[in-house]
Amino acid sequence: MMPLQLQVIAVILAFVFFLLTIQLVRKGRAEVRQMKKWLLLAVIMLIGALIPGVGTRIAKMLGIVNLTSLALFTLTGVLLVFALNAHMSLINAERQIKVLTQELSLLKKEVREATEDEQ
Amino acid sequence: MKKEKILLIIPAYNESEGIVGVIKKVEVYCEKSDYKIDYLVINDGSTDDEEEILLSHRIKHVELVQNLGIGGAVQTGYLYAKRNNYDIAIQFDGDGQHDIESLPHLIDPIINGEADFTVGSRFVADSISDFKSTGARQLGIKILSLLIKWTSKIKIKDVTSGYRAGNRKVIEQFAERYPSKYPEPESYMHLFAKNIRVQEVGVQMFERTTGESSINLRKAIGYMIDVSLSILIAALLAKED
Repeated sequence: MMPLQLQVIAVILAFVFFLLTIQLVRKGRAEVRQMKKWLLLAVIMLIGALIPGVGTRIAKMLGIVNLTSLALFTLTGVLLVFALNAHMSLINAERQIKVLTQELSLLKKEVREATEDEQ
Repeated sequence: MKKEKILLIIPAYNESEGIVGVIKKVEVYCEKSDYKIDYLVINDGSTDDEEEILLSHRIKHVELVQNLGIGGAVQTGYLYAKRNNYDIAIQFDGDGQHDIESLPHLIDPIINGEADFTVGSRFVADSISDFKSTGARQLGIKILSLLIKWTSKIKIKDVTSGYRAGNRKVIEQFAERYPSKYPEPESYMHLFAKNIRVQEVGVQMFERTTGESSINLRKAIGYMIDVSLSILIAALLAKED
């Protein structure tokens, strides 16, 4: 059984996180397709905080002492995957910038030489 | 007899002080040489007045619109070599450390079909180079060389040498994939995975007289960790039959 104080804190945190993700989409700072995993996480957190009984039952089924441990364990795993994904996106963006820089620079060289030839 | 089209790739970052001198030597050599050699300076987004100097001296070059580091700069040269059908591409430093007169040592084994890739070395028996780098750097080079030998069974003594030449196979490969940071040692693992024949040849090298080295003592430990890890992980690349 989750202590009431902890449940209140969890509900507030989950609700704030849910609102934050919605606000980011509403203000046009991110698209739904980019934010859907965070929205899903926010909904799961909210359900977990509002109906702790479900989480407690799952924790017991998995042999984990309580819901708090299950939540910490799951969130750490999820955040690790998210961090790796974010890093991969950054590496891809870096690679794309490199290719664009190379292509643009080679193109600029051709334009410069063509202009010099004309003169 | 067909004359191979050869491209000298000359990466230069903030080398405004010495680049004209280096290119003068290269042009004199190309003029007198029997080889058909072009050169291309890659200005790696220099922040000094290198670009103005290259333009005013009408030196053939590409100006990278932003700094990509040594790997990205050299790869731009390989990309250019691939698109313009060069048979051999040679990496040649823009800081004056490499001796242009040693060029035949790198080119001839490739033209004669003895190797796909040659490495200009200070540490092989036929090298006439007096400049061998500092003791600490030589130790680092030895450790990396041992690591490559241990993982690939192939011995390259001067693993950090940037004076290197490759044939079309290598040009294709490096235009496609080339490490971005500290590229030389790791790139051998990529070559070995594709069964590229690498030969180390003796060349003359000089101590740099202008500019600053990209690797200082503070970066040395990070360099060794990065490069060693890269070699170990690259050793897992699937080998082509």
